Amino acid sequence: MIVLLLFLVPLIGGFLSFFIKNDKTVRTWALLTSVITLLISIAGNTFAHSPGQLHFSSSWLGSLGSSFSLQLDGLSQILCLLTAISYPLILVSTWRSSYKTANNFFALMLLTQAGLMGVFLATDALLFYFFWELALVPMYFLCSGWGGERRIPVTFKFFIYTFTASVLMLIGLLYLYFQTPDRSFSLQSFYALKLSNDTQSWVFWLLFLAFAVKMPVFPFHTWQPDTYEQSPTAATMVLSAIMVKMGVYGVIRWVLPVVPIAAYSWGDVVMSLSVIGIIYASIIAIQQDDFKRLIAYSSIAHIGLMSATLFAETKIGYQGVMVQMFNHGINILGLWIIVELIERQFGTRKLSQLGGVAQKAPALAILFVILAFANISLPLTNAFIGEFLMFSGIWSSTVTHYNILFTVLAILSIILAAVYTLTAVQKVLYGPESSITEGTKDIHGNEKMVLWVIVIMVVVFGVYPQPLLRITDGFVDLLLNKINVAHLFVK
Amino acid sequence: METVPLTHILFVSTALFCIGMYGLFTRRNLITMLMAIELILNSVNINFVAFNKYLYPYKLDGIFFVIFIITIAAAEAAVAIAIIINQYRTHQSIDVEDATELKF
Amino acid sequence: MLNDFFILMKQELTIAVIIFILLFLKLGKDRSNETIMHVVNALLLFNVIFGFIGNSQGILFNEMYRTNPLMVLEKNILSLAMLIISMQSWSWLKTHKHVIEFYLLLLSTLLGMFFMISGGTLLMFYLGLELSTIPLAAAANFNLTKRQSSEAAMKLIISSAFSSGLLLFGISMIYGTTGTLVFSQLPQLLTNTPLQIFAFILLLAGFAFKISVAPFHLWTADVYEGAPVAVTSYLSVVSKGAVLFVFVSVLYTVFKPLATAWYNMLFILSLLTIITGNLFAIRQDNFKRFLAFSSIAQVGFILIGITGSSQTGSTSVIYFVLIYVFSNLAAFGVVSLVSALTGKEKISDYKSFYKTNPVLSWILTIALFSLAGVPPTAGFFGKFFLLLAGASKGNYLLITIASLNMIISFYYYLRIVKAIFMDPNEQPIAKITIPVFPRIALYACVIGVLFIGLFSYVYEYIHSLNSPF
Repeated sequence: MIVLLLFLVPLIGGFLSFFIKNDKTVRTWALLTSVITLLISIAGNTFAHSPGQLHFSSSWLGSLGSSFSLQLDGLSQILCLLTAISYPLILVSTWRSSYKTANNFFALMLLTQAGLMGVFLATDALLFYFFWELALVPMYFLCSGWGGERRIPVTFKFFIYTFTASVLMLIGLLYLYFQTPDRSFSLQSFYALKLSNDTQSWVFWLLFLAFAVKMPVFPFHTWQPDTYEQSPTAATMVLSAIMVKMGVYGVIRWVLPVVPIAAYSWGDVVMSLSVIGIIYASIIAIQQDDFKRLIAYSSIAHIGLMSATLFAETKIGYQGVMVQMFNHGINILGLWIIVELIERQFGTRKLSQLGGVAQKAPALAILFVILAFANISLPLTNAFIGEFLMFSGIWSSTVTHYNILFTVLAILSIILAAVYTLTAVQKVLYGPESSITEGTKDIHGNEKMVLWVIVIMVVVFGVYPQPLLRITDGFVDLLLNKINVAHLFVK
Repeated sequence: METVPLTHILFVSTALFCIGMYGLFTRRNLITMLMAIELILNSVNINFVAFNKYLYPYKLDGIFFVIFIITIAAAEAAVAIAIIINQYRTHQSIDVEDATELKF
Repeated sequence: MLNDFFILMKQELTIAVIIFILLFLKLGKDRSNETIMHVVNALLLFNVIFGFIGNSQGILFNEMYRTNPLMVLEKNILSLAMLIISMQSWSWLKTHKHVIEFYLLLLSTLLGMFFMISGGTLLMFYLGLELSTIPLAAAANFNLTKRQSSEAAMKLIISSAFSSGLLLFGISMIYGTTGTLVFSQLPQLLTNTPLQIFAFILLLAGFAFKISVAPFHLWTADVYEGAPVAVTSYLSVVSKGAVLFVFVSVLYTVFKPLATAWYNMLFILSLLTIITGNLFAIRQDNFKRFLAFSSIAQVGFILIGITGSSQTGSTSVIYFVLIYVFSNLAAFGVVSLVSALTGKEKISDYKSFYKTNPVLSWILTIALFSLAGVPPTAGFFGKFFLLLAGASKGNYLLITIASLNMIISFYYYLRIVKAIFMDPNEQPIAKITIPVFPRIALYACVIGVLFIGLFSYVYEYIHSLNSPF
């Protein structure tokens, strides 16, 4: 039941938002909906643990072998929790942004959330694909309707990338469907498939491309910085904090266990691409002057590490990915809020035009520095846990011969992250005041509260990550079990 | 008496069909195009009658079909001529080349 | 026997009775247009409700006429579409001089379609087909003084006469090789001889004309643009839907022995149709022309579903037509309102439409989304099922090209949505007050589009009515 509510509450809330004309009311309504979703999600993670609460299945298209089945297992739990936590934070922190036709904006935001929840919960391929597109469409409208100057060409690029990829995924899913002996879309029968190695290879690429574009992995990333830059901040937050996780999620749920042999044989390729992406994105980030683009590229680097770890196939690595998916979402949310604050106050995102903010705005400075540390994954921040686990995961990987090389290159990303993040901190907070930053005011109210919440989470999960690890522990074992059995089968 | 073989009749009907097609595509006068369509329909009629007479003489399906085709062709011509007359009213011409309102 | 007759043919009889009532109305004293339209809408509503009561199965007149629950459902879909179109054309017909004639023409075509669907022989099928096309040509000419309208009618009648010529030539060949016209006897007698294949090609060309499959689609855009909007929507939804229903059932039952032949033909035709429709749709500025090409592309997708040749294939086609009725009529409903009240039919006129008409904008958006196949609208499911059916033959080339075309179609549908919501415009279309009947019709369409997909019972029901291939 919980699992159904997780998706129904934002869906219904979103539809109703279309009809609320009053600006204030619709904001409150959206916030209320997201808070209720958060409460439901927390309930699902804590006391409502009976199988009846965490599974939902009802017959849907029986003659096609598809059922409306949702499931809240470890992986879904952590991502749903991330979605549920992010939304109130996003809504509160952007409370002061004004939107034309606010009812449509918030309705689309909530519909995106419903789609995201659906993606994370669905255990039926048809349903999964349905939600996958359902999440993209409102996002497309958010970006093209409320975005910046160049929004039309940029969202068009975004749209072409993602839709082409998801159509390829559709073909892959249809192919898998016709391979199942009982013509079924359920995840279980996909897992039970024993495909030949060649078939696995191309099914792997059909599915993986969709997820790779979403994450994004190195050669498919070009839509991302532009889209982040041009989207309204709230949409950027959803995109970077939650939506990129759809790609990671998709690989874990729909690629690795379904085509394990191909994942094994193409693992080196994907890991190489990811590592190239890490270095490449970090180097570009160093050269960025636009704060938004800097964070966008830094996000590509972080996600690249996750996608590399996915194909290392080690328990410790997977745990790192799970934790980091959550932590990265939280951290980048904080960074976007900082960007939004700076842009709103100074009217520019150019790092070269800023400076000396720390003196006038000490609270902002402290919060920003902590978030920057988290972005570099220094110890005592939450990102450290995740990234450290992932590095160990790649290091100890047995499926690739180049584990040491990959680890070394990946660790290089920390140094590069330190370079660009600290440069940004230094340019914004310290140095001489520019003409723009003379009248700096410190943060207060909503943004301050949200940033404190985020910073507290950063620190708490940095010191005590066990709650997060516990959520996904069982799932990681199951996942490895599926993948490893397949490997034994090959030999 | 020696009967005409079926193939000869079919040859005639096919030729008629082709002439009708050719007329439809080359003529620009709507009335002539309508006549070309009638040719096509008549070739079908010949086909039906011939098949019925030569191959299945104990049934009457083909003959019936012909009667219906003739009837419907009449109805079709009636509507078509009404439309053509109306086009003459609006365009002062029944040449298809003059119907230039709708183009790509 | 007489009892059978009344029960089995109840839908045809209802339409015939309505036609007679209208004729008597015409004979009586002059009544205002509104009274007539109230009466007609009430009768059509009755027709829809009556159609849904009870299913029947049986054969009449030496297999000339047959019916089964699937055909009853198909006829009901068409009746429903007729009712919606009638309600939508309220604003246009209100001031028109010949309301009754308009309905007489459309209802007689509907009667023809019913007989075509139920026809058990090639003769009956042909008669139904002609009854359903000839009056349509007259209806296309219904704006008597407009040059465009008369041109559209001329093109429609000439091309439909030509296509029935092809069809008939094919039928005569089939009769020559098999000696029978009865559907139930044909499959045993079709043996894949070259002459039969040739006859089938002619038959297919005839069908292709009626459902505007490329390369036989040339009349479509012109007729759609020139004809009054009500007739255009009738052509694109009801007439096309009826022929598609027959097409599927004929291919799947009568021409089953030629399955390999028609599979290859449909494979090529479907790709050609989708690509042509999409490429031409991109460059249109007239909304009706645009919808014409988009409907050509949709038919291409339907052909993909047909190539599946399975129970899923025919189910997905009928399901898609049902969805297509709602989504296309929602789009045409808005276009018809705007065109009747402001005379504007260009896509560029719709810029900033949202500012003045938010409700209509949303309806149009939902309709276009459904046509594009975006979830959660029903169109997504329709397209998905068609692709699923097509993929069941393992022809992934077909599916891949079709899916890539889906992206193109996304693009041009979204272009309109963008124009409605985002493009600036100095003089947007003025605010339109929607009369009651069109309002009901539009809301019905939107509800259909939003809920038929999620409400899987509809698909399962159609599936249960279809027999396995």
